[in-house]
Formats: sequence, structure tokens, C-alpha cells
Amino acid sequence: MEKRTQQRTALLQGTLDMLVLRTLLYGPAHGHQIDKHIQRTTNDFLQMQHGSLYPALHRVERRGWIVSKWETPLDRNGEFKYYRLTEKGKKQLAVEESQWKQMAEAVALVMWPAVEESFHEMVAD
Amino acid sequence: MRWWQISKRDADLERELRSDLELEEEEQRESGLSPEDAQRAARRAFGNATLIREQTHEAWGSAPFERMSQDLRYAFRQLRRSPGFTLTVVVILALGIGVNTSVFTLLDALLLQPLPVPEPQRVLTFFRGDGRPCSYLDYLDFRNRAQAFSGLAADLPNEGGLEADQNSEVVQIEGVSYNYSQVLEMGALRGRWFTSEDERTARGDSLAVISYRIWHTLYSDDPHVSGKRIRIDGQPYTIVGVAPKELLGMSQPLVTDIWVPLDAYAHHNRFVAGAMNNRQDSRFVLLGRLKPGITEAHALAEMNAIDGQLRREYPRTDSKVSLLRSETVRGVSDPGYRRNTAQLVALLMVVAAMVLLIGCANIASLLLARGLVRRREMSIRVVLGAGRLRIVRQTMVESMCLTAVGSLAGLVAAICTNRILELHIAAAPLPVAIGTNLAIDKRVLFFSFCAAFFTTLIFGAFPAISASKPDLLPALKGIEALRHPRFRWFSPRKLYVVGQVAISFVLLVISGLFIHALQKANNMAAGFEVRRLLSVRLYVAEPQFTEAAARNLLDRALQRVRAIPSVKSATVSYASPFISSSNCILPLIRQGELPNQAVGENIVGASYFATLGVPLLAGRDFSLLDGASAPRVVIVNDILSRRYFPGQIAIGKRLRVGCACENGKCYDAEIIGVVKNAKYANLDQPAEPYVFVPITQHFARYVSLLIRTQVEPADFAADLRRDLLALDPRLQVYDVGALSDQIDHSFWLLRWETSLIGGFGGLALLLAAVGLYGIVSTSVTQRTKEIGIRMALGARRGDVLQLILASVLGLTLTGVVVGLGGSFLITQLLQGHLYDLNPVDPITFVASVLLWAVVALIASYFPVRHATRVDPTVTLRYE
Repeated sequence: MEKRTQQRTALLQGTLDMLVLRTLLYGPAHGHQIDKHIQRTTNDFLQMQHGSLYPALHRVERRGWIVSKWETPLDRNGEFKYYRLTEKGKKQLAVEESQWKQMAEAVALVMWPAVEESFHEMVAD
Repeated sequence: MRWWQISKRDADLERELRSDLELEEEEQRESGLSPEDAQRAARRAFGNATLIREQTHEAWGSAPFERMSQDLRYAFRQLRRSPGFTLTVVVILALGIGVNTSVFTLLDALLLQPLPVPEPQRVLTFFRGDGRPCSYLDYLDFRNRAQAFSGLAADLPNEGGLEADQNSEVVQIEGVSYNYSQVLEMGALRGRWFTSEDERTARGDSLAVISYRIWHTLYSDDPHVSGKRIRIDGQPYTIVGVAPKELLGMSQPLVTDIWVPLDAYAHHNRFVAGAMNNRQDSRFVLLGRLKPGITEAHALAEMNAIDGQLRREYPRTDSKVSLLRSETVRGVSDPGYRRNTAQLVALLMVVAAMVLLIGCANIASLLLARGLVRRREMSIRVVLGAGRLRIVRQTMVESMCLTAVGSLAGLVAAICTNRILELHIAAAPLPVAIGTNLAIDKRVLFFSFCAAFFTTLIFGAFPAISASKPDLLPALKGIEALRHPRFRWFSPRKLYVVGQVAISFVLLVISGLFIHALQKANNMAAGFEVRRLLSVRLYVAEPQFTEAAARNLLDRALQRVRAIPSVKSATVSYASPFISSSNCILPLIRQGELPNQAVGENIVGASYFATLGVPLLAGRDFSLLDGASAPRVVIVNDILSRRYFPGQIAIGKRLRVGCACENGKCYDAEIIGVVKNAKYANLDQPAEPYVFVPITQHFARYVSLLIRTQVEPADFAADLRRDLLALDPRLQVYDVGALSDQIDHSFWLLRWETSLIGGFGGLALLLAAVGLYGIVSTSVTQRTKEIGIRMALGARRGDVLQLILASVLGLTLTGVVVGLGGSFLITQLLQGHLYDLNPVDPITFVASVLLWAVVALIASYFPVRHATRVDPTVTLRYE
């Protein structure tokens, strides 16, 4: 269990920023929402401790890819810190996405030469 | 991220995390858990909040800063908690860094300070060997042919008598080409400089620029000083401007007070005129400003090429002429002075650095001792998870804080000592004003910073490393003291003590040698009686007096003086011993192939030797028979006679003598007398070969009356001046003073050096003694239990005494032996600086060893006494 978590964390380090940006593409969200979204969309595979999201959020904010603001949601009382994607962040997301794609394709070419075609289609979807 | 935003950010993050945690908790409750379980589950899902916060801080990029500020806060708290320790260290550092900064300021002023002009690094000056580069005629050719410079100026430093506003004093004068200020691109503080315009329109008009010092002291900053008249060597000049305050001139460390155009200067001064028309007279300083884009190397190559052409066009009598060298003007520019100054300053720097090193060793051992006391604290911190690096850093930060406070205090101390040094230098009893700009500029600040940095490294590093690896178990249990005093050949603290003793020993030896030299200087004999000898400098101005009138006036003056009842005898001479020198009046043109040797020369009147009391060894004195039309005669001293005519009788031999200033006109003269050797310029130099010519055959307008009196000469100095002026008010009378005072003054520099170095030596001794005391007393404290046990087992006081004293004396002895070795090496460097120095002077060495032995005993007396009073029952009960 311990080992598995470590592997996942290592995998996450580089991609978490990208996932955060991708999540925010739908519109502004606060930390808890982002966290839940990533968890659900990956079928709980990337189930991380919620807290580890925050260093990533602040790192990405410092780079100017997202901005934050305390806002009160319509359905609740109390303020939450909402993050929003900036123009710079959108560009960055495109860059990272294409990089990730290239990387995934390259890895796929080595790992599954026969199913290259179908994987390619899969990624294209 | 700015530091003031951190706390705000942190609160923000706190709030964000809390809101998230609440949401999570809410969700868990909705899924059916009890409030407590929901809270627990939420926290589990969330992870380690503190860790997350720290990781997020890292993401802000402010973590190193945060750690630093934490370390700083901690360090200041630690230092405040032990004020005694902090104060001691700060005082030691302030002394060490202050002394070093002050000496460096001196170095900066004398060797590094650029000219106070725009782009000073593009102003070059030239040398040939150790001398000035060229004659005035050469200069004109250089100026016409050289393409590398936007301007090339000539400068002839000289000494002269200034009369301004009823004051007369001897000042340093620079005769300069008209383009001087244009080359330097320098303005005037008031009025203006002479320009090339003056050269075209007002040829021969006597303009002068005065220094800030003269303007300030003689004219009290009068804004309307331009147009006022002054006299230089009795000749009238008109002030046109005041030079900038920072401009000290090209004769540093002498302060130039008057700048005049060379043309005008030559018009009034026969010697300057002679020098300007003589291609052999290389006494002119060259100053050139490089054209934009031209490098120094290029300019130098061009100058040497022109120099080669000039030497082909005007072959020289002196065949050995070296290539020109160039240099940016920085501080003292005259190469000879510069070398002496550099030697002196280097010595002072080394000595000051030694004081700082001893201080460092002191602080290091204090820190080590403190490390022992804090061993428990460090152990606890290590146990609680502090990394080694963190502890090293923490300890270094503490050292840094100490150095920072110490350096600031040192800088303040340096500003005070600089002021004292400046006043001391300005008050130097020299005929011409000397001065330096001791300013804390950016170079000095940089030096201080470097000194502080290396100081921290030297004293802080080892204690920091040693503090970072405590023996955890015994330290925590508090039982380390019992197992500590195991014998080690090399413990760092022993090394510090040995180093301190060695360095301070070297300093003691150096100070001792200086004191010895000063003592010798005070006992040095000139070769004639210097007491009750009065010297009066006179100038008989040129157009007012013809040569015949001047001779007549001087004769009447001598008669008048000789008539005074308390005067035994009186004479006249060009150079006055120890007061003025006769540069380039009569260089000897040597007969045959004799070694290149400095020969002193003087123009003297009859009974010169009788008045001074220099015995005539052979032949006769000058007399009335040796008139202008009589055969030329000279008197030489014993050294010259033995060197030039070894094994022969010099009387009757002929010498070629002549004056380079008069176009190298020379003549043969017969030696009519040999006098005993005597020293006329420097008591601390061996006597030089000397040649004397009679004033009747070689006229001088600048002369000194030398008067042997029966009473103290100061008693009638004022009357004498009045009487002389009564003979003719146009006679200029300067510097009426006793010769013995002058000799006293001539040791000013040596006395100054001795007091400075002696002060450093004393400081070093004190610091080292304090260091030794500290070490002995900490070691006694640490060994209290051991001593208690020893005494309980039957050791007597004497045994304990022996135990401690043996270790103290062992350390001291090792230090002294190392110091002896160091002294032998370092004192070799002093040779050439101190006259007649024996680098292994036994008296100095023995005295230094004895002094250290006494100091070691005193420094260890109190701790040792404490040790022998240890009451075994008390120490053992404590255990």
C-alpha cells in the first residue's frame, strides 16, 4: 500500500499541475472541488491526500497560470477561495497537453507496438 | 514574495485549508458518520496539515528566507541572553576590524585613491626606471608627436617660499603647462585655471592657482580671492582661482599649495628656466589623458617609439636610459615615494591583520567554550531532528550577527582613528604641509566587508562544525565533564592559544626592533655638534638684487650676526643640514669609470666647517683668496677622498664638477681640503661622499645662515629676524629654527611608525593574554571535578599547581618557539626599512621571550589559584 502511494505520488508530481489547469478549464473552482473532480474523473485511481493539492495550487498561482479570489458560492454560506484559469494558463495547458501527448505516444510505441493504431485513436478521442 | 506579505499569505492559507477541511467533514457527516468520526476521517483524508503548509511555503519560494529569519531571530535571542560574551566579542571585533579598516584607509589614500577628476583611469603618468620621465624640451616633442592623447601636460614639482597676506611659509609648488586643467578635465573651486588661451595672449603674465588649504587657512574662504597678489620666492603672482579641495597635487604625500604656469615660473626663477632649456634635465612629470578608444598599451608603445626618435635626434651623455613605463595616477605617484610608502603601509597592514587574527582566535576559543556549555542544548536540538547542516548554519548565523555588530562598531572606531591619524599627519613637523584624504570610500567599505566575512569564516567555522556533532548520550546525561579531559596533542583550542602566542610574539619582536631603531636614532651622531646651532633660511630675490648686491647684502648680514655677543661663529651655505637639501645644484661629474654613486654637495661660505665643528683632516679651509677669479677649488669629505683616490693623497687632485641645471656647464677644480665625515641629511643613513664648493665661486640666492650660539638659539630667533629685515626689507627670511629641533623632526616618521606598531604590539599582547587567560580558566572549570577527585585521593596543592602550570607553560613555550621562527622570517622583510637593523637582534628577542613568560604567568595566575582552592568535598558532593 505504502509503495503504491509512493508510485502514484511520483507519477503525480509532474502531471498534477496539468490536471489542475485542465480541471479549471470548466470554470472557477475551489480546492475541495478541484480535488474531488480529479478523484472522480480518474475513478479514484489518483486518490491523493487532499492537502497535497495545495502546494501545487500555490505553485501554479505563483507562475501566473491561475488567479485566486475569495468568493461566496450561491448555494452556501461562507467564503471559499476560488481559482480561475488565466490566458497564460490556457496557453500553458495547451503546451503541457501536447507535450504529454507526445510523451504518451512515444511510450506507447515502445510498449505496445501492435496496438499502436488503436492507442493512437484512443488518445485522439 | 515580499517578507511582509508572508504572514498575510500564511493566514490566507490557513483559512483556505480550514474551509476545505470543513467541507470534507461535512461530506463525511452526510455519508452517515458521527461528528467525531467525521472530523477524524476528514483529517485522515486531508493529510498532515503542518507538512502541507510547509510544502506550500516552499512553493512560494520564500522558504530559505523564512529559515534565515528564524535563524536570525534565534541568534539574536541567544546573544542577548549572554551579554557579557556578546560584548567581549563585539569589542574584540570592533578593535580588530577598526584597526584594519583604518590602516586600509591609509593604504587607500596613499596608494589607491584616483585623481579627483572625471575618468581618472584614463589619465596616465610616465616613468623611466624609478625616476621622472623627461625634460621640458622632450615634453614639447612628445606633445607635438603623440596621437594617443587628447592632451599631454607637463608638471614640475618644486619647493618655494610663499608670501600671502603677511604670512610667509615654505610650500610645495607645481609649475604646470597651460593645458594642465584641460588634460585633467578639472574645474576650479573658485575662479578658474589657466588655459591655453592664457598661453597665447598673456605670455609671461604671472598667474597662480592656490590650494584649498591656503584659501582656507590664509584667506578664510574669501570668495573674492581672485585677483589678490601673492609672492612666490619674492616674485609677484596674481591669484586666478582656487583648486578643488580633493586635489592634493602630484607630489603626494606632500600637499601642493600653489600651481603656476611653467612659463611664468621660469620667467621668475633661474633654476626653473635652466631646467626648461636643458634636454638632459629629466625632472618633469608627464600627465596624459587617453583619447577615447585608445588603450594604455597603445599609448605607451607610441611614447616609447617617440622616445626612441628623440634619442636618435638628440644623443645623450648618459647612455643607459631605460624604457618609459606608464601608470594610472593613484595616490602617491612618484615611484620612489610610492615604493617606500607601499613598504610602510604593507608592514602596517600585516601588523593590523595579525591583531585581527589574534582577535579571531580569541573569539573562536570563546565560541568553542560556549559550545561546550551549550552542548546539551545542541544535543536536544539534534535529538529533536535538527539536521547537522542546520546546526552549523545556526551557529554561523550567530557568528555573522556578531561580526555584523562588530564591523559596524569597527567602522565607527575607524572613522575616529582616521580623524586622529589625519590630525597627526597634518601636525607633522615638516617644512612643507603633508596631508592625506582619509575617507571611508567604497573601496574601504568593500575591504571592511571582506575582512568581516573572512573573520566570521575564520573564527566561526570550526566552533560551528564542532558544535554540530555533540556526543549525544553523555551530553544529555550531563556527565561529559568527567570523561572530557583526555589528553590530545592537537585540540583546536590548543592550536588557537599557540597561534595567538606565536603571532603576538612576532608583533612584539617587530615593535621591539622599531623601538630599538628609535633608540639608536636618538643616539645617532651627526658628526658635529647639533645643539646651539641656529639656521635661518634666506632668499635674495632675483631682479631686486644683482649678484653683486646680493653678495654684499649676505656679507652685511653675516657681519651683523657675528657682532651679536652670544654668537660664537656664523657662516652661510646653500643647504642647511637636515632642513633643506641641495637637489641638483652641483651633481658631480665623475672622473673616469667610477661606480654610480650618490654624491652630496653643498655651496658653503668660509668657516662653514669651523661653525659646524667638522674637523679638517688635511689641507685648508676656503678663504678670501678663493674669489670668483681665483682658481676653482673644492673641499671633499673623507669617504669621497678614500673612494675616488684610494691610497693616495687627495689634496691637489682635480675633480670635474658642474651643475646640470646650467646646461651641464662644468669645470675642473682642485681639492684643497679633506674634512671628516658627517651626516647632513639623514641621521639614520650612513654618511655619504660629499663635495663642497665655495660660495665665492658659485653663487646661490637661496641660502641658510648657520649660527653657533652660546645660549639656546630660540631665545633670540625673533630679534634676529627683525635685525636681518632691518638690513634690507626686501630680504626674505624664512624658517628661523634650531637645528636640533629639525633633527628631532626628521625622526618624526620613525617615531610615528614606532608608536603605531608599538600600539598594535601592545594590543596584540593584551588580546593574546586575555585569550590565554580564557583558555586556562575554562580548562580549570572543566577540570574542577577531576581536580577535586585528585585532591580527594591525596594530591596536594603543589601537585595541582604543577599540573595546570605545566600545561600553560607548555602551550606558551610552543607558541613562543613558533613565533621565534616566524619572527626570523618576518624581520628579514624589515631590512632596508630600518637603518642598521639586526634582524636577529638578541636584546629584542630575549626581551620578547621574557615578556611573554611574565605575561603567561600573570594570565594563568588567577585561574590556577582558583584551581588550587578547589574543595574536594564540594566538587564531589556536586557530582
